[in-house]
Amino acid sequence: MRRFVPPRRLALLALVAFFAACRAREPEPIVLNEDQCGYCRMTISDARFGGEAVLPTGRVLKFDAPECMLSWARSMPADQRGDLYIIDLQHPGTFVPVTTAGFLTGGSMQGPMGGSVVGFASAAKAEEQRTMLGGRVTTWAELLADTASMGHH
Amino acid sequence: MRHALATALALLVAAQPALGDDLTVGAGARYATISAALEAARPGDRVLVHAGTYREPTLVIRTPRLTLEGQGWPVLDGQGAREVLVIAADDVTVRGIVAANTGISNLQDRAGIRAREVRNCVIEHNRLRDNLWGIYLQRSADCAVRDNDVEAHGLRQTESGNGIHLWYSPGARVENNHVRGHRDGIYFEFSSHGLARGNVSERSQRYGLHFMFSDSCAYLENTFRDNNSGVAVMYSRGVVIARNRFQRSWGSAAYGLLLKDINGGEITDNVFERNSTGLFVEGSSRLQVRGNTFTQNGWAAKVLADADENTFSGNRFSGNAFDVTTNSRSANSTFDGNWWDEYAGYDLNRDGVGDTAFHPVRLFALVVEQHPAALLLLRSPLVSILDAAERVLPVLTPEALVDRRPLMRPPR
Repeated sequence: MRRFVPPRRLALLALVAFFAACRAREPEPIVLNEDQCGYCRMTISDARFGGEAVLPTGRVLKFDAPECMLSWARSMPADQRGDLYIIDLQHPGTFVPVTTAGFLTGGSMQGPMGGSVVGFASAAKAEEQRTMLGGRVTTWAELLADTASMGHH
Repeated sequence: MRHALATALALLVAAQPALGDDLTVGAGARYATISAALEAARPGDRVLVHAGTYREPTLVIRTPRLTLEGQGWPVLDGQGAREVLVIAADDVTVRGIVAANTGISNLQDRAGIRAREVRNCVIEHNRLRDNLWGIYLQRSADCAVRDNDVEAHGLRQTESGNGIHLWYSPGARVENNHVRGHRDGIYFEFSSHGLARGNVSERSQRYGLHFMFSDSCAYLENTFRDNNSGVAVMYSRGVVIARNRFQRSWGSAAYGLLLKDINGGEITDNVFERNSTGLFVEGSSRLQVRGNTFTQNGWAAKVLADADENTFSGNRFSGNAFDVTTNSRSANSTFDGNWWDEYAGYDLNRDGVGDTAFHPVRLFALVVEQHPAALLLLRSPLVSILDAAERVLPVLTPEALVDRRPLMRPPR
């Protein structure tokens, strides 16, 4: 009988696959009207907003609005935040790493937390939408530093 | 003297809106389109719309003190392409119309009926059908929204707005409406001093009622049932929640009533029935929880440790899998004089109050809080033994969460 793959190579392959799986720190799709925001506990219901933190442990935290992810991130030490992703307003459900995403703040969009921070695939895309939505183009780092961006009261 | 009399008469006339003209709209009526009648109307007039289907560009009422009234349920059809009706003047009344079919949009919040930056509008006895947003009050003060029937179905979940939505609209009265199938049935955002009374909100994709950043509001005698995530009241001060029914919200993130960051409030005489979690309290303080009935819930009440100075008294707990749970031993809400069907104590002096304290937090509830999968063991005999032992000699459950005066009979 012919063997297709030597068992040793198969074991190696399995091992590689196992570690690859462990390292796959990808955001998970948000299940609308099921998943809860990891910060404010609201059920997430609008696919155009929100984001995810993929923690160093592999656990995924979901957020309903950029404002909630910002508040959460500010409350965590930088090395425990993991990889952060924001939803692209123009492609609901699509995640963009916050480091490369562009943001609009102070425009006319109303997010789930009453704020106006929205994410785009890049700063250039944010700039394109600014003509229609108004506001100011900004980055994740700037938003993190600006502690006044959570909703209002 | 004669001059003064004339002025008084003029004032009287001005104050009497019924003295305006009636402008009729419909086949064979004075006006063929609602737009034409609205164009011609003067303050105080009534535009009476006969039965029929009207497909016109978005209708905008710009005349103060106007009444737009449907006779025989005329249908104002947005044809899936636009907002249907906008109130853009003060003291306007809209009643008796069917506003339908705004269609969906990612960038516009289209509404069946929108009040835009006005005062004293009345939106009553209307039917809203398959709109992205039903009735939307935008920066409009002291409006009444009552006896409307609001329904959405067939819209995709990602693309549904709220049934009755208030945004920066203080002093609103939302009464006796029936809302079904929207994202949130009724939503108050940045809208203080409002009242929601006697509404039925059901089968919402998310919350039956949702309040954010809305201080000093009262929610009375409403029924919320079969809403996907229940009801959420968040980031507000001074709320009164009384005589409502919170029913049948099932799911891992579903709560009869979710209270998050509420400062000061009364939750009295409500019924929490058949929810995954009846009442969930997080980050809230100075709440009086009195005279409520918690029955047949998975968890009757979850009170997290960051909730502070909350008092539970005179409540009835029966048939719940867990009565009370929390996430820390340091929880410090007060339970005093409630009735618990799980209480197995005695009352030797017959004063109606049990002689031994009741510990409503089961040890197993704390275990489940840490390890949800342990719920499999809910009916295991070992768990029952652990729970019984813990009740006699509490080691792990929060010491403060104890009712020292448990009632022998349900109150009233």
